[in-house]
Amino acid sequence: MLPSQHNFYLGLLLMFLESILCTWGLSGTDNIFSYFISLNAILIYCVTAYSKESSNLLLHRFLKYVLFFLIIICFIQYFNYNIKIDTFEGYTDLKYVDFVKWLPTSVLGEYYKGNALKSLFEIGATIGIAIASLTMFCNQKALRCVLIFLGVNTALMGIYAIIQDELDFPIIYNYFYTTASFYGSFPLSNAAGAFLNIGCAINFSLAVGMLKKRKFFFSVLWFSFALICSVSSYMSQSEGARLFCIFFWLIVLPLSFYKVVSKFYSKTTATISILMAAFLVGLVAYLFINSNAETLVKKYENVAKNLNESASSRFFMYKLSSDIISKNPIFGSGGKSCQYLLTEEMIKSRDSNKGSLASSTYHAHSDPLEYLMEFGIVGAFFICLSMAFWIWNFYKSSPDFESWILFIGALICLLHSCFDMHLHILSTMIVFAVVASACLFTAPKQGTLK
Amino acid sequence: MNKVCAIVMLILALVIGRITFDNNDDNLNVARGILCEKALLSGDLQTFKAQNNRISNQHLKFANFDYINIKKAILTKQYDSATVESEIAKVADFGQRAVLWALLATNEYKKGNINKYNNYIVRSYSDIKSENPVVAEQYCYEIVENLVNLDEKLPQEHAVDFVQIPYYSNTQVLHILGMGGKRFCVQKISRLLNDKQFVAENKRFVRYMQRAVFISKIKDASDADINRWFLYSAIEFSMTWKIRNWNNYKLPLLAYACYVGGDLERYKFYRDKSVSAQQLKDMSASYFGYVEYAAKIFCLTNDTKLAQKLLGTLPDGHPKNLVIKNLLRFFEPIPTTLIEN
Repeated sequence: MLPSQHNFYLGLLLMFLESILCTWGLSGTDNIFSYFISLNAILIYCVTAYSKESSNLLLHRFLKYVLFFLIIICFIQYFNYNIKIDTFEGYTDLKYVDFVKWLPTSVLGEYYKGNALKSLFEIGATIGIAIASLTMFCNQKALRCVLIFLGVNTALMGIYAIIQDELDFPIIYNYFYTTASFYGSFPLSNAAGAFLNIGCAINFSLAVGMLKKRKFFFSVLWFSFALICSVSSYMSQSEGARLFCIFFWLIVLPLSFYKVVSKFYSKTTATISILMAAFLVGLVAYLFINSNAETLVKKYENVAKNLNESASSRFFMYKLSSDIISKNPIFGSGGKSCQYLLTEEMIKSRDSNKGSLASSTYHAHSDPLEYLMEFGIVGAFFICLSMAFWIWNFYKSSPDFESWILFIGALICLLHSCFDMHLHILSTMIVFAVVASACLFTAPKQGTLK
Repeated sequence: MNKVCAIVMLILALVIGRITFDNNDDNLNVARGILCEKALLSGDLQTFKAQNNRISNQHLKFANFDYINIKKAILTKQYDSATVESEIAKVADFGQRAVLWALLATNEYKKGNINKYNNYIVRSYSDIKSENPVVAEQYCYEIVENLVNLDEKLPQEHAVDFVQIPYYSNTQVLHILGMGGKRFCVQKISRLLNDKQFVAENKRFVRYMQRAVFISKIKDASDADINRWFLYSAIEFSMTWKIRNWNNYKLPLLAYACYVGGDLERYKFYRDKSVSAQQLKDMSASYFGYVEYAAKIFCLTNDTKLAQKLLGTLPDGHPKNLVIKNLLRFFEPIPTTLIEN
């Protein structure tokens, strides 16, 4: 428990506000929303930092050190910049300047475009809310409330996105400065898809929780919310989000089937029946594909083509990213430097004789690669260790089925981020941090209610 | 340590709050620099001082006094022919030097000194080609506008050569299309389009040049023909495929084509449709991009008040500053109210 009721309710209230901001705040891509989302996350962190109660989890303790080092590294990056962004009438220029070579460095752009300070503010806010969640969620009531609020918000966002897409509903706040494919309240459809996939995991976990308590109405309600999130994610234009949404259900549904059978019969029966079910489904699928091969090829030709195109442009970016990483492997090229350096490499690599247009990008479209580029091996070491501690804590918490669903949801988000950039989109980063923390606590013996 | 980190993050949040809610940025500073240049050229020292003082980035403070002094002298024809060449040669920036040579060339052309004109225009071309095409872009268009406005065969033909120098930009598209209204430009473009080698080597220009030729005959074209010719053209102007009424995104471009082609009745029709409430609502998926593109066109068609009105619909902030920077050169005279915030 937190030391006083006031602190507890204040933290909870701010968490609710964070859910609303993350869902409806243009995914934090807009500077004003980005500020309020980060500020609110920091306030939640401050509220819990001054509470007496603290979690004993290894991850919780480690994240405090990570935040401490992040602050130091980002400040050094900010002041020891090696490239300065100069703005001119029709272009911006990267001006190389002297710097201390053995210290972390960065690209100094204006704050609203992105620099090490902005990186610290956003990543720091995410780590802060993860630390705060790990403290707050010791209380099962807080955990439930936050998950319910997040679940409802993600489902509403899913409904909004579907209506907007199908009925030509106006865009939220009525304008964007983008040529990208926005979806719902997100200016990027792939980030929206990833966000909805996490929402799907939250809602399905809540549905299972309600089913356990035999509250069937709420169970059906949460399950329908999970379905709405899935449908909405499937309807987003992101092929990655679609694939990982299917992947989520392919893992979770057999697991649910196994759980139910093993509860009413035995684990052996469950294993045999799941193997048989898998065989039957496989057989039916094989026969169906075999008899409708031509129709299916025609139907999914475009999807394959899209994936192919998307993959080739991604691999091109990965190749350029690895070149940038090799220039500064230890400390990286600095927070938010990817947009400048990768765009520079892309412009250099174009064939101007053919008159090909200069292309630009904000992200490497692979979060591990982008974090490696921006924070080097040192940053990657901290991230890998955090992940290792997260998995270790999850394993040690003897998770129940609800925790497993949240864990799978977070893991799928993580896997998806290997080929996309939604863990550089503030809203998704924060919701991922909350869900990854939540899955460590759902087990009743970890909570304080029982 | 946890509490220290919390305090540091909170202080950081306060500092960043100040930065976030400050609308001033380098795009606005560059815009102020453009205003300073225009003010100096027109002799408005008060505006120059006021705007230059408001440039917050020291590196962007106006410093091109030599260039402006020579430019002003050439524009007002108050220069000594014997010394101006050496003065231009002293200007370090290739782009600026090219502009000065081109201005000098147009002066000589007006005097009837074709030999001198040729000499200066070659110097101008040589200098601008020595510059990075991205950096050269703004200077190139200034030269093109000067040459096109002479309404003579040789300068207009040269304008067609100059417009091909920069890398692609939507301003380049508008300049090529704008040549559709200039007789000698159209003649040269038609010749180029008949040259198979040119077509093979310059595919990126060909489609716009074909449209420029079409614009020259737009008065005789049917509405269906106009729509067909410009069906996908608006894609070059920040159009997102998320706009359901994507077909209407081209309306400002159609207005521009009709204006250039001299079909003012149709121009008014497309212009009014471009800024109708329904159209602005339909374009909201890429609203900033649409406003920038439509306002740019209305500046070129001398409807600057409409352009200003469109800009006024954007909320203040960094994205608006970028639009202002991109548009400011197109306003003549520049309304200082645009960058008052």
